[in-house]
Amino acid sequence: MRTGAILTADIGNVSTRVSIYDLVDGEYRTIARAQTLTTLGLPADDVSVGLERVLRDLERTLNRKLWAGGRIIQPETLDRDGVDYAIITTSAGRPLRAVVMGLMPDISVESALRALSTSYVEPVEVLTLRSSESEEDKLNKLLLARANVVVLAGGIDKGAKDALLPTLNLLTLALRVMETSVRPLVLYLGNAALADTVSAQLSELTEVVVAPNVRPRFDEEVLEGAQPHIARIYELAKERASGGFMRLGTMSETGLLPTAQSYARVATYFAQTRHENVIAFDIGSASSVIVGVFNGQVRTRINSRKGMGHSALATLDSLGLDAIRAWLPFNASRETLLNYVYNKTVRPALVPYSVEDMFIEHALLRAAARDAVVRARATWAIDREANTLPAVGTLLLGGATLTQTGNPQLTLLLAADCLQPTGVTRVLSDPHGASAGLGALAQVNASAAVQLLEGDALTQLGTIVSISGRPRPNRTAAQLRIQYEGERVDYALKGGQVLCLPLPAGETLDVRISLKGNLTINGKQRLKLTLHGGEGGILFDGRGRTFEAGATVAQRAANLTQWLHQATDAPLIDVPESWLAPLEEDAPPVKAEKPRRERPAKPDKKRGKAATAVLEEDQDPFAALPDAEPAAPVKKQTGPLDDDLDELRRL
Amino acid sequence: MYYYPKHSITNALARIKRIVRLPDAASGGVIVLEGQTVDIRDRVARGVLPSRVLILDAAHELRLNNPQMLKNFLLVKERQAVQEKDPIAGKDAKRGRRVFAPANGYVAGVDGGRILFALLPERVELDAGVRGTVAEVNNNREVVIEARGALVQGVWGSGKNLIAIMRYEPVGGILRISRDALDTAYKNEIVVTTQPITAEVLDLAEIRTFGAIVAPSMSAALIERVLAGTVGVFLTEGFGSARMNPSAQELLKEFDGYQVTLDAHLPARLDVRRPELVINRSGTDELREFSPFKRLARGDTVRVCCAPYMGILAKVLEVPRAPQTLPNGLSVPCAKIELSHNGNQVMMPQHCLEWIGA
Repeated sequence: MRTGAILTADIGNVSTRVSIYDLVDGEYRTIARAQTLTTLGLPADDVSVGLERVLRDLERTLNRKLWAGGRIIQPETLDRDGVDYAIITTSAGRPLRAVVMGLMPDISVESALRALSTSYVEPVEVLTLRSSESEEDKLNKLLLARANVVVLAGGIDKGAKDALLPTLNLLTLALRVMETSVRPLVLYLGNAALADTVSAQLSELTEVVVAPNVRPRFDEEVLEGAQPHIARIYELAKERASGGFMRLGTMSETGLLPTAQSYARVATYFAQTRHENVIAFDIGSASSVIVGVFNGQVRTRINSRKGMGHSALATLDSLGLDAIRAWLPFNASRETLLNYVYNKTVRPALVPYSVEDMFIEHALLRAAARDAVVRARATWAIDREANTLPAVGTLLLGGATLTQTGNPQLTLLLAADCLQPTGVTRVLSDPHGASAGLGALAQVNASAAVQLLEGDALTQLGTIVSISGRPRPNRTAAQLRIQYEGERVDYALKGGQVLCLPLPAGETLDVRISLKGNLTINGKQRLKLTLHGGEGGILFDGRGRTFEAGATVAQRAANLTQWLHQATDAPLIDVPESWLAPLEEDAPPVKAEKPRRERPAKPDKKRGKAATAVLEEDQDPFAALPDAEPAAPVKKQTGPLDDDLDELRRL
Repeated sequence: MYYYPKHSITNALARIKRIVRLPDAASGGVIVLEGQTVDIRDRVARGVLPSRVLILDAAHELRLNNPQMLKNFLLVKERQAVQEKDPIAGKDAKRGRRVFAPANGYVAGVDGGRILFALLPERVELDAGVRGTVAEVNNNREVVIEARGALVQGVWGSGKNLIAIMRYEPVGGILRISRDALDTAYKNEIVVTTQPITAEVLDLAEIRTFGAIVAPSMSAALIERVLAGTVGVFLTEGFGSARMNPSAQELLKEFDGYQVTLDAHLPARLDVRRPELVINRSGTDELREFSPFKRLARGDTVRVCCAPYMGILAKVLEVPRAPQTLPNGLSVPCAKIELSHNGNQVMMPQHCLEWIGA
């Protein structure tokens, strides 16, 4: 196995992100990272130009040549120029349009659709043996679908071959009618016994990729075997497209792989090594991917039409205005939201500059993420009747909106709002797109991938401690006894509030938690935890599961500004009256009585008083813990809450 | 690390590259050669989109004992265009049992005893759109044309392509134009306004039958109306109420009365093509070339493309290495800029700055 430097590049629709890893003291470590705008479209219209830009910049940083003759230098030279491994992944460009053909809609076709959901493929037609259309109608659906790929599935291994033959013949007919230049690729995922027949019949007409049967038996679904073949189809389709993808594919050790597949691999790795449930969520400009590993079962769901830039309009269309407004601290008109979203669609890289725009951006993010969780959980191996998720041990976050806020506490808060995990969750952030490359690297150098995943490739963002149940607002939800470097502080976490404590990566703090009423964490009411820090520290979330930002704009203005203040320590935003003013489109007719404006609560004063009162009335909640230390006098909170938070932060 | 800003060119004499590409689903090809000079309305690629296919049981119609013999009874060649009711199969084209074309179309193939008859497909014919030279032909599906001229790249168009005379709005603004439908001035012309488009402006444009309006911005709530109307719209800045940047204003005023090519391309999701306004010009003096390796640097003139400064030109004063904290709390790579309209200095996210090539 080669032991030189490794380069990973992830080409997104907006950004091209590159990381270089090399051996440091016998272990792979990150030695440089950079990103630039992806160069699809003029003046370059070639994604390799963006890659070259980044590598030229990295050459100056590292004093090492990486790019020559229009290619990445491979393998590494004796002068330590170039790299031994180059892995390139991409999510850029349009998703592939697919027609899925098969026998049984709820068996082979469903499995094929599930297999495709791990890549950037949009099924545009499904044709099955059972569908009642005539042969002519089916033929026309195939011809008019403008598909990049036709996926043919059906039959169990060693089963009858005849059932699939009419479908195969229909496909053959369609391909013969089509002009050579527009014929789709064919991916075969069906009865292995028919694979040779499929190849023989179709390979003269188009390129055929044969993968293992996704349904080898009626009661068995095997999706893993199809993954590399779906990736191959994706690569072949990309090569057919313009934009320089073909050249990139020849430079990559693994060919050009779809970004999302790697997320599943990385999430599975964490689930297996940490023996816990894992969610990976990445929302990019054009698409989003959510991977859930629950009870050992991996489920990936890609939505090629939900994103924060190119797909912002599609996201808004799909979610509706009210879903976005549900996370806004002000009344936003349809026009305001449409203007923002259209501007994002035509300039996907835009960063919000004003406070209002930031709230709109994050409202879109929160609504899209909540929707992704709701849709994905139907496929996860969890109790689907329950309102909340089971305990999630690790969260892996990707996508610029979520991970490139430049404010780790804000990212931690957004993660809690978006995914609403339960239990004690360690959060990893991937602002540099490392997961995509490392998941692919695992195919060719697994030990390097493991060293980097356990090392510095991902950012340790911190830990979220989430209280399950429905805490009463502004009443104590949990008593925390925090022990750090010999000092101890007690704190009453109120319902509907969050507490963020700074704690650097690599450090831990001990905390004992006693919960009120029927609130729980990991199903327990009293816990002793050792929590791991990170760039964002520890976020204690007293808002319950699941929670909303508020039913009225006044409640949302109070809550969202307060949570932002509590999590990031930024000054509390003074809510202007204009935020709460009724919209013209909602306003009552002229001369009607002016509606009463609901003003947001003034949280800081109230919180101070409430915190004091609750601590005075509560008993020492730690006395019953079996390994509790000798009870110390409870620290009276006499000052405003911010003083206590400051003290906690100084620990 | 360096920042390579997005280009949004507004320049009086630039080397312009334009890509003309057949849609993915269209069969066909390029019909010009590399090095060939093309004019604005010259066809450079031609193709057809897939059309519906009818399955005709010809062997049964012709009472053939052996369906495989059908090929011998075809009266037209495969892919040969035929008119509705033309005979396409039979022993004799003029008498006896025959199969007739059910519509205008062509025989797409024969499958056993059946004829696959394709209805006449929709044709796709692509114009050069600029006067220039064919620089590249890729995969027989894409043409890159190089031209010279004034160029204004926009952010949104309503999907209308137009070659017409461009008129700058009268003093006092576009609404000073009378609403007299009998007045033929501005008819089918491209009218430039420096103010955001309003419903009133659209009313006027429809009454006076403008060809298109070039404007800085409009409310996104008007999109449906614009797309349903006949007047093309080309936006230089974005959605909202931004005013036109001074560089575009000056350039468009300079070419008042010229014939221009307006490609008010309606952006689709994941589309890389930009709406463009091109005024063909000859000459090489001060010809600007645009490199994708242009870095954001001190002294650059840039355009701000996010609220509240959308459409304002600025000069880059400094590009700090470390991320800067914005008023909203986000901390991102920024550049310190001086706004041209009031001289104020602000720290602006790099992603909110576009290089205009001025």
